[in-house]
Amino acid sequence: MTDDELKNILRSAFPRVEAQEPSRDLWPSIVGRVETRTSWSMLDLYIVAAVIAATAAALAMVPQDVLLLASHL
Amino acid sequence: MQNEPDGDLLRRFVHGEEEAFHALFRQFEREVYGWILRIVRDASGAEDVLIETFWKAYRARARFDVSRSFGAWLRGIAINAARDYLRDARSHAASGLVADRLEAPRGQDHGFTESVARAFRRLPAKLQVVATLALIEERPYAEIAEALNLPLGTVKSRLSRAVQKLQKEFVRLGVGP
Repeated sequence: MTDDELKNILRSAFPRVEAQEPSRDLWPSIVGRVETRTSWSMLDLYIVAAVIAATAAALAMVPQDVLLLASHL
Repeated sequence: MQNEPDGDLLRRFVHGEEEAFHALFRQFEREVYGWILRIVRDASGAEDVLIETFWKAYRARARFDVSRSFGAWLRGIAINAARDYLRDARSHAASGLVADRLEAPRGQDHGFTESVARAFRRLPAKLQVVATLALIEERPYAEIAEALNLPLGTVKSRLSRAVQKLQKEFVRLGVGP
């Protein structure tokens, strides 16, 4: 099979794609995707709040141990 | 690629201004969609890849150098996203989850088209992209090289490998001229 024959097979099976545009306005989907991926989820906020609360509690109850631990990090 | 956006618009985009991002989307959506559609050859899939492309561009905006071509940068992201889509489609097709999406022309024998499509889908995604653009869409090699950000020689060698693989596969499947 020659290269030209191969090209003819492909072109007879698949038409060239003519200039087209999306069937709908995709901007809202893009904005939605950006906001979903860049905003903090409730789980993220819970985790951050829990870490801050645990750190504050440890500092209040055993401050010297926490500072000693921090100096080793 | 069409006219490059002005530097101020690009700087605003890099700083994350949604209005600038929207203006760039409106300026480039049709052209980028055209490139993606040529590669993935499925309108619904091309829309998904277009969304992915602009999301990736927005996420990577801080790394964009405003002195460079925005169009070429965006096209590179789009073609990589389209290649990823083909890879996924190929693995799904291999497991029988996705039917072939290449459209057959009216009046064309369905068995013939299916055999050709099957052979084409067996190509690795990077060869499929080059073969689609060069053999089906008849884009010039230089344009393909620029779009894929590859040396001309690499485009030619990938095309040559694609042709060899397709020829073998067509013989195996009994597809002849």
